[in-house]
Amino acid sequence: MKKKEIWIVAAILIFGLMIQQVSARIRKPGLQARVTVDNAVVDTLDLSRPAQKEYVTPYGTNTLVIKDGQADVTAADCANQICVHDAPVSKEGETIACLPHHLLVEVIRD
Amino acid sequence: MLTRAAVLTAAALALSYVESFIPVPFPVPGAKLGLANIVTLIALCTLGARNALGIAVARVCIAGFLFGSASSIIYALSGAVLSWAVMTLCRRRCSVVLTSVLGGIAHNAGQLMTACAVLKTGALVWSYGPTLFVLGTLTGLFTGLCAAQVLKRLDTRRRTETE
Repeated sequence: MKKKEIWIVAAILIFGLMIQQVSARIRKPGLQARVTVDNAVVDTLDLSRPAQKEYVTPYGTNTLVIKDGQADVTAADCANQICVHDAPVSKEGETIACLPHHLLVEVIRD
Repeated sequence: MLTRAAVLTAAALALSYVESFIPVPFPVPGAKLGLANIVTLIALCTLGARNALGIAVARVCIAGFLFGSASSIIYALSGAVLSWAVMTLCRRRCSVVLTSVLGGIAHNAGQLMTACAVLKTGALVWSYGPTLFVLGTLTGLFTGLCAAQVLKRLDTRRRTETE
């Protein structure tokens, strides 16, 4: 690898880290969690009110828990369990996606 | 040529399998190192673009049927094909490592686009995009450095064989 390319890789990395940090920091605290399946809104929950709900989609079932102002998917009957391992979300624009079930939990402000 | 392609496909499959045992300290669940990309890079440099695509597609399909589910194949495939396309374009001008970095970013971009298509929303780009960009750069850098080492040794071996 030439010296020039080391700088290009470094620049790409710094650019990426900047975008990542900026996008994480400018997020405002969210107010509601919107649940969609195939981009159709299924439910909207207040983050301030603790709740536990189960969503049955044509593809499978997910359990969503609202606690301490955060939304978290705690159970799913899909194969990969990625949405279950995903961290809880609380800021505007943050998401938890369950791709096998086409289900998306999205934090919004209004 | 065909033998080499078959051996590389087998090597890629083995790497896909080995990878499932390596715990990944990444913040995004489901993110992987992409070790099999080492093989795609080597194929691209030694057997040409067409063979590299064949090997990548064969590996994704077989690995999908063996260790994954049918739905996981479309994500792996979209990532692999976009990454192959970008790496094929870059290879002529860039070093192996830079090619791999761009390929890693392209791989994640391809998967993200497929995920958006499945969910029918672009919300994921904003929430996962930046992190996937950084992860693609880092994993691409790692696999690129590995591939460069292998290629260096393949080269010296071929030279001594002909001498």
